[in-house]
Amino acid sequence: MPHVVVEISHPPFGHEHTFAGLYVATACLSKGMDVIVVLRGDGVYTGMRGQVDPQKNISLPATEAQIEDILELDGTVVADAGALVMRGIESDELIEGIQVRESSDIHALILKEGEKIIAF
Amino acid sequence: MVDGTKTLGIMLFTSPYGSQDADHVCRIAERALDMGYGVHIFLYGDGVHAQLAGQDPKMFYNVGAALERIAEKGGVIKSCVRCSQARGYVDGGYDEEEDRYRSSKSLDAVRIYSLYGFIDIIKDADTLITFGSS
Repeated sequence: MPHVVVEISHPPFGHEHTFAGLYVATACLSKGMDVIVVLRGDGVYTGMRGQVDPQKNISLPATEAQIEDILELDGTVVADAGALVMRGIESDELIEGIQVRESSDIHALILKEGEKIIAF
Repeated sequence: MVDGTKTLGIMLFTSPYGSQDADHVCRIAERALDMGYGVHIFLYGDGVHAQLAGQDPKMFYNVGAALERIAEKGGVIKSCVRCSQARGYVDGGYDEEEDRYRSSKSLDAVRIYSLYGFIDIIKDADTLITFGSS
């Protein structure tokens, strides 16, 4: 089974990209693939804990629940430390289980583990 | 020429004509088929608009016609059922015999399918290219 990296660089609700990418990550995990989700750029907003119920309020899928599903299915979720700092987000504001890594570490991880890389 | 066992997987996330992504997808898919690759395309998000039947651009490369040529040459083209349903392409249930969701608006060359159609491409493709998703 290939190792899959799903990169998310869009914020959670302004575009379809984020939840479309997270659906792909979940589906890959359900087929037994190893998946790393990388939150970079504005994608780090996707990792924030305590998002309101978007399904109820703006009729869009709940990305917080999608991230929790991915972690529950033993997927790995990493957030770019620099992108968090630039946006004033502290690591304790993230969903439990997300790993904060420096960009250089994330690049090394992608090169080591990413057989199939899909960017959203 | 490749030996016929190499597979190229392509995911398209943007609609035709608003950008050149669909154009690039079709041209690279046709070239790969000519070189002997197996080609599997998945239309996702706004990419499902590429499946609309009756496209008739006056000044652009005709993406619908290109998808029909790709299918005639042996390429396999699937589109996401959830994305297709949201955009009004699905007008019937799953057809077991045809292994696709029913649509009177889509090209016959494109099979509306679950997201697992893309997951199979991710799993099996030797080379995977994504257009319009980043």
